[in-house]
Amino acid sequence: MIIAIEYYILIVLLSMSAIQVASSYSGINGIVLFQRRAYNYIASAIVALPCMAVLITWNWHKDVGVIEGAEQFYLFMAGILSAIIITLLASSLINHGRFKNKPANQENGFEALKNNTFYQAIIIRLRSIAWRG
Amino acid sequence: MAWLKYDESVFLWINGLGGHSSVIDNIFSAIANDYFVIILSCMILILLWTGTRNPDKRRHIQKGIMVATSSLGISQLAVNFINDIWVRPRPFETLDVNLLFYPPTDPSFPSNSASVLFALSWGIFIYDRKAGSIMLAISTIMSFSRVYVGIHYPLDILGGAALALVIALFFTVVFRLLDPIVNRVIDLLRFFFLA
Repeated sequence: MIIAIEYYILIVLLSMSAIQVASSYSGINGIVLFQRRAYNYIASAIVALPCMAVLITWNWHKDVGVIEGAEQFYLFMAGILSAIIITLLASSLINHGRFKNKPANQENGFEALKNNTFYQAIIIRLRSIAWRG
Repeated sequence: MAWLKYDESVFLWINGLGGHSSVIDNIFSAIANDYFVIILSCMILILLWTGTRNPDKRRHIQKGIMVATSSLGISQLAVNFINDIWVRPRPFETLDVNLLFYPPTDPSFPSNSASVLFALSWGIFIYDRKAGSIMLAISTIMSFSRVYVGIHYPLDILGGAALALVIALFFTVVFRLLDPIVNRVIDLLRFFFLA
């Protein structure tokens, strides 16, 4: 059980780091946690590198540290889903003030998150659906 | 069978490279571990999904990621099916080997980890040669290390990689036939700002 929790936490942290690096690189500023690209890369590296070190040495420090295949898959999917949810919530809170007065972006996909947080984009989308309805 | 003898002799040669340097042995046993390379490959998928700037190219790569993950799921079912038909013992069960890793208990052929990694790699390679080549190189190094540490024969790796290739090609054809539906799925994800 403890091994499963450790694995889950590692996946959450690594996924969040990967999302931050990728979104910084592609300019999706609405979901980054630090607006300065360099800070985001450094913070991601600080989180991801120790996680990678734990993973690469997993079989050395755990004699019976094998998670069964199906459980590993479920934990992995839960980890990625959690990372996405945490990223969207945290970035919406952190960046809310920054993008509050920016013009509403009606684009679809990640392009809409370049000048809006996820929360703002969803609210705009829901309003437009209600207006059309 | 002659090809199994040949497989054993190639295994013994690769596995015989181990046991001379504890540093190199530790590097290969770290790379061979059950989690690191597989998770690294999945992180590359996240980077590709989110980090592609051009929307059209992103859509194309996202289709590749869908092919890769579908191939991964089916390759696991195929491995389980083959394991039920042919229970090939692990090399350390029948030969005198340098065992540099914990002894797995599931059948040797085909390699489960190779099928997972190559399923992801082939799926991406078909859609993006550059990223796919990097992933194939990572998969090859990991697979070699599984032979080096004494838990797989080379044929197990080739079997896993070939199985993954066939399944990835199958899903590529299926996804191209179902392209309008796949586009609708991506459009739906884009509607919720997730693609």
